[in-house]
Amino acid sequence: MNTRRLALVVLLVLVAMLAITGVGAAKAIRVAMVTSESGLGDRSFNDMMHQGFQRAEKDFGIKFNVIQPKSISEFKSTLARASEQGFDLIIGSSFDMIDPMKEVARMYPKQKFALIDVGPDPIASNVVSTVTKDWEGSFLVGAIAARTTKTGTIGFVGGKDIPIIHRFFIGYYYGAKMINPDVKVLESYSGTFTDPATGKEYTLALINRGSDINFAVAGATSAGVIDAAKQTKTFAIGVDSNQNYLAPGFVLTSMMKRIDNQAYDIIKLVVDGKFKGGTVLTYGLKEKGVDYAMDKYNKGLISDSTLKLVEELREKVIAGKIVVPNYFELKPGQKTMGQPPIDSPLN
Amino acid sequence: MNEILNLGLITAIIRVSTPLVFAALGGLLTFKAGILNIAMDGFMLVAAFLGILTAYFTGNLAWAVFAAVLGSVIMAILFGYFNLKFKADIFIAGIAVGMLASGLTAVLLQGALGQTGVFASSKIPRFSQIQIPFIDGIPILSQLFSGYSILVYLAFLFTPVVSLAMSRTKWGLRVRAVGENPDSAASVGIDVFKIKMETVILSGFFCGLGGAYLSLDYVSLFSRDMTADRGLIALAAIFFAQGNPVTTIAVTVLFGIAQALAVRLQQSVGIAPQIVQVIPYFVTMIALIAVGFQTVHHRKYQQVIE
Repeated sequence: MNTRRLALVVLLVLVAMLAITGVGAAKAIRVAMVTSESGLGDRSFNDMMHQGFQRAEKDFGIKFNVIQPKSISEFKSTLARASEQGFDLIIGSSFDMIDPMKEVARMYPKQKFALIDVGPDPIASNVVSTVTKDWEGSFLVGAIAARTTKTGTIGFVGGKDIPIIHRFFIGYYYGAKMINPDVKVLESYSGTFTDPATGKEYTLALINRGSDINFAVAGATSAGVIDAAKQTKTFAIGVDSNQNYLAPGFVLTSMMKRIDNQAYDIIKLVVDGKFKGGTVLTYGLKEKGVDYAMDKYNKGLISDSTLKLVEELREKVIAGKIVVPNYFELKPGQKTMGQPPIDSPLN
Repeated sequence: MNEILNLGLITAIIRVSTPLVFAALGGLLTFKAGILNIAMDGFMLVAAFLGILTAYFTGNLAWAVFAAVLGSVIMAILFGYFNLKFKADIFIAGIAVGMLASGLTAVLLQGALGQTGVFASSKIPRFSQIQIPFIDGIPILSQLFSGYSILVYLAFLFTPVVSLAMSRTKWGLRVRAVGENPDSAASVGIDVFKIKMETVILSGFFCGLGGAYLSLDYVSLFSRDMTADRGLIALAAIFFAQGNPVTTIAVTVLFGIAQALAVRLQQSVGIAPQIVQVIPYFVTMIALIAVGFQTVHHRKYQQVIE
């Protein structure tokens, strides 16, 4: 009697285990998206990354949860809590998440993490991170600006005079000079990432000197650059995410970091079982990590012949026929204010 | 050189100076009443936000300016109550109001307008530029003095008004008495709380106009913490001028000149941006030193007389 009962129990347990593993095999991969503190609805990085997740959901049948920490100080606890919930992958996208993720990744060595659009240093042995080659995107918008300008002068408003911003300027300069060696590229730095009024002041001064297209790489200060374009009926070029909607008809295009593609690719790595922690992936034009924005707000602002030319340039960069210079690879002292950092690419 | 010194420079100076002039006018009154008003950035920020919010939903700039001033005055009353009624330390009260303004506008930006960093819309109207009739035809004069919005003219018209109110009215005398020695002012029957509160509310009024100018006229958008310490710069100008209205406004305009020149110097001459961006602060500091020397000299002179 007892043996029979035991056998029954064992049988039941076996069946139950089979059932669980059976379900487990069919169960979808679960991915967590940890937003930066601005959260969903920012019409910027978080929304763009969300689109990448939605695409992956459709294509690979993954399941994902969006976790929205309210402040930078919550990043660490949020990541740790997510690590307890058995996600196959946890993806974040914020410079401020580097240190929290480094710590949490050490605490949960078996958990897979990814951090998008950060620096070239590996974060931990179980984290895949990405670097965006924003200078290649800036190269294309520089070419568009040089083709579209009516005055032969284009401008650049950077937030601060620092290497990470020079990277954008050099790509922009190189693209403009490649299209037209005679185009004047004016460079300026507003000294702030948070003051749109000052951004406008710098832009109006550039416009006063003849520039009719100004590339803004200055955080919230960029909004002032776009506002100046709207008021003087010139063009601005947005940065990071698609900012065309901020002033329809006056934002020529935006240099976008396609972090949706980057998130999608990393999810695919996990789906394919090719995720390798500790690697740093670079995302340029070839990897579809940067692009210029085309939508209903800038329709008709860029001529078809320009678009065709820019697509040819894109192909050349992808094929390696054009190498856009990276600021961090320039010699020390090669780039100073007001001096062309590099020879005209046509020489 | 022509690239730097042209009429565009003058309009730039006026653009840069106007928000500072408004903040300085507000700060002057509280300074005279003996209140260290470090909350002006908070007042202006709330005003800038409510201005944009109202302009977006009503499409009416008059309502927008009204809402901006109202919001700023409410923040000022809060600041005044913290400090004058509940006896909170002026620094704590100022920082609290500043943080409240920063946090509140950020939350409302997301809640009411669905944005996190920047809000702009083509639905927001712009101020019309006023052409002054008498000088309209005259080439340089009309370019210098015509074509600004109503807020710019208000800023510079309020300067003599505040100056005269301080020096020539009974109310101005009371404010100064309260500022110099509240106890003796109280002993002759002046309601110190009332006078101080009135200056705080008026500073809210002027900061409200300054904030509205910033978000509706200077640029047509709101972004988080967009006042960028203009309230503190105005406060510095007040200290440099020791509360003299005309000198204070002169110092803010001096700052505006330096800032407008700095923008152009960087772009035309190619001086390193870091150096150029220090110019406005450097010039203002030199002004402070000059004022300081003059005061010391003046005191010595008075001691000799006594």
